[in-house]
Amino acid sequence: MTRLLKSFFYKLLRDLTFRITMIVGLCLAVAMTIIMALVDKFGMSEAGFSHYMCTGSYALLSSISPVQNFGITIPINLIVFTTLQFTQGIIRNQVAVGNSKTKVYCSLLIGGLIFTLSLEIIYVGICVGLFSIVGGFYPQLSDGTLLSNFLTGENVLYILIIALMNYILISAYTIFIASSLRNTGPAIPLSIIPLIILLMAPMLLSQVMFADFEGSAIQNIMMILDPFYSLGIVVSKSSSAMMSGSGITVSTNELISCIINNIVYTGVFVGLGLFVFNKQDIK
Amino acid sequence: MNSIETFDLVKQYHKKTVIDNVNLQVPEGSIFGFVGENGAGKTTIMRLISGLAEPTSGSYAINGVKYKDRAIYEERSKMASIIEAPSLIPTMTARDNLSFACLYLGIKEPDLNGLLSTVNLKNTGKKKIKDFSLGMKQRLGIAMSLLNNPSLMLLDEPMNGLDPEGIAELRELLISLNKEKGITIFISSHILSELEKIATHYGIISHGKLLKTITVEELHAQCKKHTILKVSDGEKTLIELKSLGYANCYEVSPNKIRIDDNVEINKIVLALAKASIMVSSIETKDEGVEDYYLNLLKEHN
Repeated sequence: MTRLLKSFFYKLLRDLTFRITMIVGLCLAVAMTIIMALVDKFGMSEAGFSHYMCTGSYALLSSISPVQNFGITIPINLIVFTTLQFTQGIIRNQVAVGNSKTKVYCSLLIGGLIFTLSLEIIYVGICVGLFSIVGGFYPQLSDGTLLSNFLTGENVLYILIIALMNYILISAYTIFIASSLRNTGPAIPLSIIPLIILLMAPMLLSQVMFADFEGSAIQNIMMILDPFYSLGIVVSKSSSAMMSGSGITVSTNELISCIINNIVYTGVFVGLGLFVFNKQDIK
Repeated sequence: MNSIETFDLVKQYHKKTVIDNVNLQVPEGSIFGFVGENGAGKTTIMRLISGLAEPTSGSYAINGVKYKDRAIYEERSKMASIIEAPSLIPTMTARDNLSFACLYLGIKEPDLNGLLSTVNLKNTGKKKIKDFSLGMKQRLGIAMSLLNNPSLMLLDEPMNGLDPEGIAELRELLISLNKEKGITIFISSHILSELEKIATHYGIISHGKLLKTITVEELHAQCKKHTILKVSDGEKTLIELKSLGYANCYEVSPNKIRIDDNVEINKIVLALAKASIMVSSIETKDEGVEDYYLNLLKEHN
């Protein structure tokens, strides 16, 4: 397994897809900083803020979500990178020299997860850094008051755990799709469309149902069925919390349901992926 | 001992049988030439043995280890294969491809320059694989397959795309690997005349069925001598030859007669002269693997 991972990273560091994704991430981070700084300057001052969107805390909440601009490019690039492993015959070579298919699939999974997390961590880091340099970490009112109580250390930890679980699931799902189809064309929409639907569903439902959504049966079902529910709600809650200066609360229920359903879904996709990969012939 | 052995091996794709109860033995230390028409099942058997495809039924063994045994992975790690085309990363250089292969093979990098010069690719420098010719890729594939000092090599049409010089170099390389390092080579090729120069054993496959396995000695013993006569009148010649007792003779093309029996040339020439048939040439040929293969196919079809 170690040798397969070593070869994975050897290729990754020389791969154009990875480099391009990094450059895209950097450009997006710079562009977002400029846009948010302009929004703060020309839009938020009327609401009484001197710095609101172009702050490190806002960057942390918005850039960590898999549904934001860069987050959505990660599974696409992971699909491209993984399908290339098949079309270039790397997987074929690895199997032919005596690695079991299970080992090869697990190395793809671990490599894919590191691919996803490293890109996301770098992107979030750059965004938080750039936004903080321009507007500080916490939102600030025009009178100089810092709104530092809306994001506690405990909440940041919860959010990081939820995001980590989500990215593990996204990697497992993406690798399952890429290794089953082995073709970039159908794999990209099949990977992205369900993710977007699941990520957007809680936000859209809460918008449609307004206050009725909190504590409703639909919300409970969403908590069980939608693995991205918790992160979606946190991101959605954050903007209103920042505006009002109140704190965001990630409930224990949200955290536990997120951890459990993410583990279940990840287990299902890893199991399915292993089954299909072991059954399919390698071209 | 056999390096490769298959037991009633069957492979079906969408209920279509592409490998049909094949029982094949590739003896250790041999160069086993695998011959068959396009789509006969040569590549599929190689893919099954290298673990890229699963048999529908039956089984196979590598160095005595059955494919369901966990030790098969260890056996495959001592095996090298180039199936259809060598798998190379087009955006990397030859050297980077070899370094990459060393990583997934879990071996220390050997003298890569030496290896590249063995296959005549030492001066490729920073040239990427995407800019290589097919022959260069084939040679790099061979270099890659030598990285783990294999005891068994599966080579599927390795001479494809090579120029005559490249074919000769590859032939010499394979012979030396077999003789000096004792590597068993299981090789398929359409260029039967080339296979004839290196193979010690042959397997002939058609439509997924193994028709025959034969050693070079057995092949030579079975290969019949035949004589080709170019004459002025084919039909009359056949009548004369039958009257002389040659039963196995036929007209291969107008006025060109083939006799598959041992012949007494003087007797034939004299008889034909008496019948006023002019003989413009007489040629005695040994049947090679190509003739043997074609005759075998004719018999089975």
